[in-house]
Amino acid sequence: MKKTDLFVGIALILLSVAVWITSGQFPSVGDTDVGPGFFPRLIAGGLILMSLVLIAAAFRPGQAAEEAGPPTSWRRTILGFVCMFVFLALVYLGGFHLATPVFLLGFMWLFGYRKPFASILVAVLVTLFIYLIFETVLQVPLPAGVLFE
Amino acid sequence: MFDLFVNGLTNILTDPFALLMAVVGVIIGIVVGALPGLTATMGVALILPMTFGMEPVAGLLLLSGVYFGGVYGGSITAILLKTPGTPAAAATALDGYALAQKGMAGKALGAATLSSSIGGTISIIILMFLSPVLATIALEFSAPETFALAVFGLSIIASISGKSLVKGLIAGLVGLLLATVGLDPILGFPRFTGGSEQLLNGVPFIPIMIGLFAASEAFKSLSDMNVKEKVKVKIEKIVPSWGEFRGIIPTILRSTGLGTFIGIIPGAGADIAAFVAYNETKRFNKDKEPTDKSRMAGVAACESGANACTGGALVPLLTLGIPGDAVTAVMLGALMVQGLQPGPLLFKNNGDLVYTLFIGMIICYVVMCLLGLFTARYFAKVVQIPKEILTPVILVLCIVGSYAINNSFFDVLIMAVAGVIGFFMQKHDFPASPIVLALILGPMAESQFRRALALSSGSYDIFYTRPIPLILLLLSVITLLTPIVKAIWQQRKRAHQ
Amino acid sequence: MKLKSIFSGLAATALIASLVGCGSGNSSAPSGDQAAGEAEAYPKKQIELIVPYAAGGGTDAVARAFADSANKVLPQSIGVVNKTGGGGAVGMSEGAKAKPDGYKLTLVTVEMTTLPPLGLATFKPDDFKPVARLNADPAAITVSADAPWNTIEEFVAYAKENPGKVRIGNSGTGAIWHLAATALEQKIDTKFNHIPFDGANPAVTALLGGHIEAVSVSPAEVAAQVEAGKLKMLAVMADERLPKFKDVPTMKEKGIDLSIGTWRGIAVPKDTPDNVVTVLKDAAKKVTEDKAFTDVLEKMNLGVSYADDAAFSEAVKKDSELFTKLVSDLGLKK
Repeated sequence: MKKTDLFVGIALILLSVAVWITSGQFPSVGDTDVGPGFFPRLIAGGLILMSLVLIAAAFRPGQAAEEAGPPTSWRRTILGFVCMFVFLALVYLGGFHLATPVFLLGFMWLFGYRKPFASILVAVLVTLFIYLIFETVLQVPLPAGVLFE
Repeated sequence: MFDLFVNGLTNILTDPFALLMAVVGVIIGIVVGALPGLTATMGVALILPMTFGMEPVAGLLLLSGVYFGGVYGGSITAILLKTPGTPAAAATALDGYALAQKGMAGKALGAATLSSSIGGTISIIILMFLSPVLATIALEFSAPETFALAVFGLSIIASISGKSLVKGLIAGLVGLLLATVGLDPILGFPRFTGGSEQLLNGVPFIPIMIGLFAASEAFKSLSDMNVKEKVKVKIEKIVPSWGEFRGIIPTILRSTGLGTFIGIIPGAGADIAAFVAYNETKRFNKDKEPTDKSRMAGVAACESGANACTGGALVPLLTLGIPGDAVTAVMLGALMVQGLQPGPLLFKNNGDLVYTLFIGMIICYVVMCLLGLFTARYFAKVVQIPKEILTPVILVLCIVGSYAINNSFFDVLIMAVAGVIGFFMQKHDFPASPIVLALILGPMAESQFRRALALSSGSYDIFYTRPIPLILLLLSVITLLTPIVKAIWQQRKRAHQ
Repeated sequence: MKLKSIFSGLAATALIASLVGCGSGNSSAPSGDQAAGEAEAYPKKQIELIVPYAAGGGTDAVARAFADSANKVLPQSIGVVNKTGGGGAVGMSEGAKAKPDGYKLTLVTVEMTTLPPLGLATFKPDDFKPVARLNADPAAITVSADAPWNTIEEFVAYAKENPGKVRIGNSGTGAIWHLAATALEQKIDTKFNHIPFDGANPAVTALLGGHIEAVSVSPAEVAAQVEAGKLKMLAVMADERLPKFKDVPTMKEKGIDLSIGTWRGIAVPKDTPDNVVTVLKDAAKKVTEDKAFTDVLEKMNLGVSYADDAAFSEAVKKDSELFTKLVSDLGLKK
């Protein structure tokens, strides 16, 4: 039995039911149009059906032998998630130009790449490259950071 | 016509500045296309103001170069890093990344470059000689036809589902559901937005794609970083051997035809062309398990299909004056600023200039081919960079790319969440590409379905009394059911044993 | 010794000067709104111009042409930033809520008056102080060249005899061309079958393909096909005939009192001081007289139409009332 599939199936059924109910409250205007609620309901219906198939398959014995991929290092994965969201906060507050080298250096150090010269070089060059392409050539502004606005 | 052709060739060869602009355009395009978030459309739109002061040929070739390079450039990062730079490259990533993982990054890049250039060149030649005839196709395609095309595209989900068909279909349905967020396409009623202005236009599609593909892959590479299983990279050859190339010629030709055709249809672009071409190639391929050869064909299909779209999309733009998608809408502005009015009179009034442009466009593709082949060797080295360096750089690009589309931090958050969800989807065999396909085609299917009913005053006859919708809908049923029937049949067989 | 004292004297002077500078800076900031002396000081740094639509479109082209020309007349440059989403609502909301110091301008469009009554925006037209209108384009009724109607009268007569039969394409429900078509429908008292498309171009494509009977989009969007003889324009909803289409009558000439169209202009948040508005208004006037700017608009078939802050505000108010009534009559509010 695959626990995740069971869980995903149930979650999707709940979501679909919510969509089904919400869509019922959408206005239906005109006699030729099927209305804004028609497609969401159609999709929600299909999703309920497929989720049931998924749940049924999850209970079926014999398929439990999941293929073992490379083992997952949860410590590193979660560290990666955290790093990204910290980086987002840094960019939001301090702006792209400041946050990016800090993030790159920190990330490399945390994940075991600790050659100071190469790290700094990468951090500076990547930031510079993105700055040049986006702000100079294409004139797309990068986040400046709310602290400096 | 022949003298126009010769004239065009002389004009372009005696205009070194225009040639230079073509090269510059292709280079900018490749960079823009390769960076996630920056699409060909955006590249062209952002370069447009720079062309205001140029001569028409030079300015328009600069933009064409960005356009063509942008469509192709997405494949580079898709193959090497599973970071599709453009939506069309999401299809290329399916087989291209698998090849790169097996150490065949160079070959995959080579195949992508060759098929992109060939597909693009052929489509321009078709544009040059057949556009008045083909333009009528664009006008034939009304709401029911486009609806049927969208359904046909959606039926492909069944064949890009990967290990589990059920999970692929679920991913597709979730994508369709996500696509309904925002103003409904006919009445403009806000659905599932929770009162957010940001969501009125729907969930931002490109940030989701970047998150699902690129960010999730970055996390995955972190999660199994401890495993000392280095990818062996032997970039000995970029240009495929004659034998390999001969193997993909039918694929390239078929995909080029499909791509050009889809490009002509208003509202359908390179992304749809890439997926449809990929699907048709798989249909023709008899091998059960994917081989290197079939993967190479998959890459070639996506790339030639996507780039053939460029010539196709220019057909209605130049002959009718109507842009079928976002890029050509920007190109329309570019032409008009140069004093050229696309439309039925363009070839009559500016024939000389138009043929010069066509030749210039072919030169753009030749330049792209050469640049691609020469630089592939260096690009392919990216896979050798230690993951500790590459992963944070990819994450930075994901964030910058998703921000740049709308200058919106909200989009960056969506990307990050999609990245985390995408990671868990990968872990549990839920494929990401059906979501992307559904996000592209869902809104198209719904709006065209409801528009068709408005046109027919509510009669459903409109879907089966016309030939094109009928054929496409029947094809969709076949495409969707074949893998399902196969799966059930195999299960039965296994149960009997 | 002497040298040292001179040096310390210099240092002290510099210190005092900087303190005074700081002090005056601080004291002038809160009273900045009233200080007329600040007039010369604006603009002191780069100005941002928010474009609520994507790069590459018509509105974006107007904005970038405006910024280019304004750089010639303003001491500081203007940077264009595209903030897309919500059919313009996202960008205009941000512009309305910006700090009223004149450093964040918004390129507003007619949607500034249509989105709020539709219930699709968190800003109100009153949140803006209009500075100058740059461009305006009327709605036009255009049909296929081989359509049986050659004048707007014939078209109206047919529409009245066959309510619900005429399929008229627009650029989306609640969009300006849809509102224009419904206003016409109200005026001549009949029913059209409104077909919403995803923008004006697909609607024109459908008209060319013979899938609909008419479109209500702007002349710019059908110009190429009209010139090529594939489509014919029956009437424009403008006060005067358009210089480019001298033969096409206005609705008013034909006794249908309608003047509806899109426009684009510059606006700032409502609390922006008047001296800033004056600087920007004068700059905008010079821009609309600049050949570089008018060339871009002309080539894209967009009509240049300058109106100063007072006239523009008046026009905005008029449109706002018109569309609020129209939207509530039609029950389009979300």
